[in-house]
Amino acid sequence: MAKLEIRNLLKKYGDNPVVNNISLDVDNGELMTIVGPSGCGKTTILRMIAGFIKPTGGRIVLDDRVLVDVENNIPEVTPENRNIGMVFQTYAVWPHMNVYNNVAYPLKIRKTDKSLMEAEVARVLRIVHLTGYEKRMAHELSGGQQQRVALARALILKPKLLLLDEPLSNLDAALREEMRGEIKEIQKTQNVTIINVTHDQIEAMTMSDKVAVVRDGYLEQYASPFELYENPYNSFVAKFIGSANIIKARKDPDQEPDENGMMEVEVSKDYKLKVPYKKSDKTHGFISVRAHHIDPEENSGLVAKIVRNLYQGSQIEYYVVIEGNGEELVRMLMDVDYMWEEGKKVEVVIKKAVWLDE
Amino acid sequence: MSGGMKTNDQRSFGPTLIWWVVVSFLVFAVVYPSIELIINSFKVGEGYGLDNYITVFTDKSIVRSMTNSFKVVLSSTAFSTALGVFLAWAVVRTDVPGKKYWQRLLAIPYFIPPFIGAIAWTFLLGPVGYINKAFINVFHLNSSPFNVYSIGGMIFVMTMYRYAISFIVVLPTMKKISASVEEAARISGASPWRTLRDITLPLISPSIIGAMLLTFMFILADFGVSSILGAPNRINLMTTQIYYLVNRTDMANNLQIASAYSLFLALFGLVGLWSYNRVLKTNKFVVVSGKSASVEPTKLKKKAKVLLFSLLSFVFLMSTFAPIASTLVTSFTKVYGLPFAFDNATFRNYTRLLEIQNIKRAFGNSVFLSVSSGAIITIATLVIAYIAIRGGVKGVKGIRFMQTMVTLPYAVPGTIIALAMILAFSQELPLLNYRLYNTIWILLIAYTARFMNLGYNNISGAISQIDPSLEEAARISGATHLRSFRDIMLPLLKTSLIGSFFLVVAPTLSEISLSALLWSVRNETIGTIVYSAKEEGRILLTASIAIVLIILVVMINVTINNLSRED
Repeated sequence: MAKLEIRNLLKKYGDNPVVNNISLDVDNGELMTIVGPSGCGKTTILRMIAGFIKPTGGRIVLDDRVLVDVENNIPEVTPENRNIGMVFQTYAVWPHMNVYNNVAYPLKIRKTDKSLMEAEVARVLRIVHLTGYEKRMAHELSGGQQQRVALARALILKPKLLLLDEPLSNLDAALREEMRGEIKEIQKTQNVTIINVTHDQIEAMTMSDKVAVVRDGYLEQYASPFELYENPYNSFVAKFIGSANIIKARKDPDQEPDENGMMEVEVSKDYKLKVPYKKSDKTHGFISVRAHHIDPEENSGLVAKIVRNLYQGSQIEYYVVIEGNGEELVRMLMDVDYMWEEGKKVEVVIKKAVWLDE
Repeated sequence: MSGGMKTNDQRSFGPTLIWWVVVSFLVFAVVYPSIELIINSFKVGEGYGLDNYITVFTDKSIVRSMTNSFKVVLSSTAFSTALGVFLAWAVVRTDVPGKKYWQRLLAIPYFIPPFIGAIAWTFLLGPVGYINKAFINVFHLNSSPFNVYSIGGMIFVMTMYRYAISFIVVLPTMKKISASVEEAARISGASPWRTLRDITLPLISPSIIGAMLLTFMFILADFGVSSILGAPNRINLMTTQIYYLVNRTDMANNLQIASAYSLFLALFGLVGLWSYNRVLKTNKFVVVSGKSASVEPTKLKKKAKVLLFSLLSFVFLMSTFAPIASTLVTSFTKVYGLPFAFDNATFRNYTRLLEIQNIKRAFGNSVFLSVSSGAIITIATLVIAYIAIRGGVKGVKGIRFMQTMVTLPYAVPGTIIALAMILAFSQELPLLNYRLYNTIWILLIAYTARFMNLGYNNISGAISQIDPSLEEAARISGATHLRSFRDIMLPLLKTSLIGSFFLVVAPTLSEISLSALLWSVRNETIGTIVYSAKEEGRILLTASIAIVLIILVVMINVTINNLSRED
């Protein structure tokens, strides 16, 4: 297990910053996921941790060892001396070596005794359920098996830190589910800190202890999955994690929290609701509302016009326009008891929402 | 497909006919001459024996040509491969300035006919060559320091042209290696050097070995460079020795000894081809593709960068710029050997090309030969490759035989093919009472047989990339087999077919090793008149013909390049 500290990490190509002053800590034994749309800089961050890309600025410290510190001119530790395990998106299983030699390679580099090497390879192959595949070549393996070889190779040195670069994106849905569980299992049994990169928010939510949401090189929010979902920092995070509705709203910037720590916001002329208090000097902003937090209620004052209804069996997904709140489509999930025609106007309430400045 | 469905396969009479025409042609132009060659190699007077072979391995001048070949072929292959691989690495994997431009510039020698390059080098390193004269002037020497008419000269000139083969073969492999396989080694603890040794080299070695074998076959088959640089000092290689033996009409059994020697030489070509195919087949090292970070080029220190840049410039200067420039300058001079100045400049060498009968005729003949062999090969290989790959045409037999007979003439040196043609066609053809030898048709047959492999490989590669379902969709829509071929395959193959045509036209236009033995008066080719103009000492004409030929060949290759980019 290891503690990773990233401070003011910066990477520019020419004048164009792709990673912008990111700072974050990963605690011992945590599984941290960096998530964001493609091109947001998440892989660049991972590759700077591995040492394949030299940062333009900032510092990375693993336990008490400074891997790179640009401002203080500390010589960068080369990838081969970082003692980090890494699984590549393309697996990078060497096609000219069999499974045994692929997995044993890190030990071979370190001139390990042959009998110990055999025992260690057997140990990691057991972890990834590939016992008996030692003699196979890369092209004789399926994608899922190649992935396991890559994982075994990354684990054989018992690294304190394991980097995963979109490891599940090339697998089919069923296999992805299975590997997710196995990676969690490895995190627990092998006592390893894991940093995972993905663009799949469900993967980020289900696997991680902490999630870093990155957009255009900026760290938008760094928190636990629960915190991200319940209390998104801005509309990007709210939409990206669990695709929340972002509805225009206004409030009195001078109001104080009430006895329950709430404040009042106005969605339309005839509809106000209470949301958790946030210190903010804005009058105009947004609220984030989950699709299942909208319920029908007579005479609520909030009128929604059904634009589209998608019957899903267990529930119905409606897309509506809120009267007096522009033309934005708002998504809501209803019980099948409520079957409304497209074009019908219904009254609803918002049960739960979070204020967002932007 | 249900057996009851009428698929109109009966109408495949046309393709079947073309198939059998091609197979008969191959029997006539490849099998029959090969048999003649083998029989002749054992012919001694009226009977048969091994005497010719004994002569081959005992005659002093023949044995010397073997050792010469040994020296030239092995060292040029080694130097060419090493230089080509190094240059490919430099322009792909380092941050040397102008990488993209170097990737194109350094490939140019591949497209220049090597015998033209050899002639160009005689302008630079011949006894009164520009470089020799420069050295004499600068260092006040008494004689020219370099002699291009030597074994060393041959090795040098061949290396300057043939490195381009490994450069072109290895370059895409270098680019394809995904960064992550190397990074995986680094993160496992391997140093950059260890990564190069354990990962990068093993992954590209099949491609390097393949390139080396190709280079070996090309250099072994060389006739142009070795005859131009070897003739003045009577330095023969195996190919030029065979040519020499064929022309030694005063020697008893000369053709038969040449046949025996040819079979010995062919053996090397065939072993080269066999190894090459083995490397291709066993090469399962498909580097993992898919989305991955592009390889970060090796960062060179400033000094190393300057050094590497100068080296690339030097290779470009030596292989491309200097030879072409010297030929160009020579082609505009009045008197060879005098310095190039305004009062020594003239267009005369170009206008004379249009005045001299046999030169005009040679250009006409070469254009006729390359266009017609290009057209014949394109059409014939389209049909036979389609049938061989897709199958399903009635009355077709001998696919493997056909493929072997298409490959064989390209695998062995052209000089051997020419000798086999002479043996087969210098008598009248039975029944027809027509003698092919001394006509232009023997050249057409030889060209077609030798270069069919180029068209076949190109078109069969294109066909196997087209999914059969495209045609099946046409069949299910009601098109006959022939109709679906016309409506689906032909439009899809259009650029490949044009590509095939030019792929054959380029080397046939400057062909020398077949033509040198098969030409006759009135049936000259561009290659043979350059050659004889050089022999006769008409240096200035040689230069202007060479320039015209270079322009033609470069134009054709630009066309091929543009076609393949459209695809």
